Amino acid sequence: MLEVDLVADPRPVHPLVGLLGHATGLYDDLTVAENVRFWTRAGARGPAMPAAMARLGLDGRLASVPVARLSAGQRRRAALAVMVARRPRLWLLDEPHASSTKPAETWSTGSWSMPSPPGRRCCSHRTSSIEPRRWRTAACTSPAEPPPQSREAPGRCPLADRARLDPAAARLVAGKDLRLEWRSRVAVSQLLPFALLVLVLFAFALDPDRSVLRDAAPGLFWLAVLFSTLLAIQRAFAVETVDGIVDALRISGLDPAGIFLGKAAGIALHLLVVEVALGVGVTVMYGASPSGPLLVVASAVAATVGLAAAGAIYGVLAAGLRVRDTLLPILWLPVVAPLLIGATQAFDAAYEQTSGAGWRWCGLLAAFALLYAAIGIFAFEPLLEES
Amino acid sequence: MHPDGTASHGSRVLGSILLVATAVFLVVALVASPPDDAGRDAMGDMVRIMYVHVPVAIACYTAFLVTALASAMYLWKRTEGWDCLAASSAEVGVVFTALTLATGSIWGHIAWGTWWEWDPRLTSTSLMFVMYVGYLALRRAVIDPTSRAKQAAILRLISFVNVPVVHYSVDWWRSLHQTATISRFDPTIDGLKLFALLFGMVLALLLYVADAAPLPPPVG
Repeated sequence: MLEVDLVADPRPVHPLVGLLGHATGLYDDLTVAENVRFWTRAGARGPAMPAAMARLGLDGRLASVPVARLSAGQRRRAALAVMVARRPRLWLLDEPHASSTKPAETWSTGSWSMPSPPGRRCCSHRTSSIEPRRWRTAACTSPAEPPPQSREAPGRCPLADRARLDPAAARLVAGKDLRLEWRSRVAVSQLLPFALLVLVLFAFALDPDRSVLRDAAPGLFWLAVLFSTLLAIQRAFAVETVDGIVDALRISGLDPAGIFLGKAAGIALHLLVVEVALGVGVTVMYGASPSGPLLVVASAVAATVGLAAAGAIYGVLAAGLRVRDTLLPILWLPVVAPLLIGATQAFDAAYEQTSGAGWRWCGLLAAFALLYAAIGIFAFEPLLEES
Repeated sequence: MHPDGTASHGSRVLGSILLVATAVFLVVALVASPPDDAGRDAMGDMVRIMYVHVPVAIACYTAFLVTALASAMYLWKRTEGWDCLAASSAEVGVVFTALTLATGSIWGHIAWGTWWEWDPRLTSTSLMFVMYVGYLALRRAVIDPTSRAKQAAILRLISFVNVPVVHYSVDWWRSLHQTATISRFDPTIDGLKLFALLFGMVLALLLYVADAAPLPPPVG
């Protein structure tokens, strides 16, 4: 199909396909322009974006409105703009005019009949407004443009393929997650207060006896981090599982390993902020002051990477399930139990200035982080396919 | 035989044999074999719990090894039989792990004077138990059989890779605080006691096979 051997490796066909069904595949908290930009960059298709937005009447005030505030018809136009800007060669449309008002229908028809490179096909059950002849006949006669990811030679060993990571995809996904956070402020307004609340609750549970709290500070710190990580993972994948975004990600042309690294990096950055706040909280409220700053920072970074990597794997595993919020803790917490032990021991050593054993634990944390980063790079693609 | 039943001729025969064998085993373990009275650390009648504890522990580790292998085979071959084997093996394995923890805890209560000790082996076994409960919970949560098989197999392999990490971290964790770990099962045991132990192992493994063998057959 589309000059791609689907049996050998179906992935190169993904960016050539555009899908618009009932779900629109848009991030609620991002603006229209940000959505269109993300998805076009994901398919490595930058320049068509302004034209596509103008075609659908989204270049004015609407461009900077978060998608969540659009009407159903405007939302559909935004999804069409993504489609037009991605310039797929096979368009799969299911009720493309649903919830469109009459002008919107004209808009979309106008955009579809715009001068387009030959070799495109469109598949929809209401073709009367999409000028079917022109699209179909062109598809049969003209030589196709080369697929954008033709650098992926067919029949390549998947292991060798995985070894070539796409850092651009990771940057794009992580940047999108940070932008989402910037727009929604979920981490700042919910995650941080929750983490600090846990510290207060620990004090209630253990009596506000400074000596008990000070001795238990490393363990309580990491427990608070663990609980906050659960929320961060749930948030990170809640935004990906609504409104057909998972399907959009699968055909976006983004390297799945890159998506994994981007998601993990997004979670890790959230966690680092939480850890700084918790560190201040532990110092102020529990009276614990670390004495080996290098060990503390090194083990915190290693543990955070491990937590985020394992979190991204289990997050995507649970993401597609109805029971994801209750299933994630039971799957993920036992797995990161070694991290809790290691990080607590490393902090203990740093607080008690016996850093020899601490570095050993730091090594274990680093090994865990590397192990789960490697697992994620290999396992994320099949897990994303099933979620 | 009931037309809708899943029992086969072989499973019925095996079941009958196991019923008789269990009765014989109980007699050997509880009555016929002598209490342990050798040496300073003699366990007395307490030794009898070992005839159950050690075999079910071996059966539970076997079950989890089989689950991991079957998961890997499923990802390689993509045939339903391997998925069935992994699922049934994990289900039986969870029961055996619960039995291992329970009998170990009872033994610990008598021998160490405490129901629970943060012994490395005990700790990692309990973590493993929770991981397998999670595995079964995932299987219940996914409806599409192909998705379920694939996700469960990947989850299983990840937990399997995690086993050494858990083992070493728990080992270090305890060894930093405790000078020696508590394990004093005496390997030099005499005839009837050894027989009871070996009998128990064979019985537990057969019980595992009878419960975990995927029905309807076959694998592959």
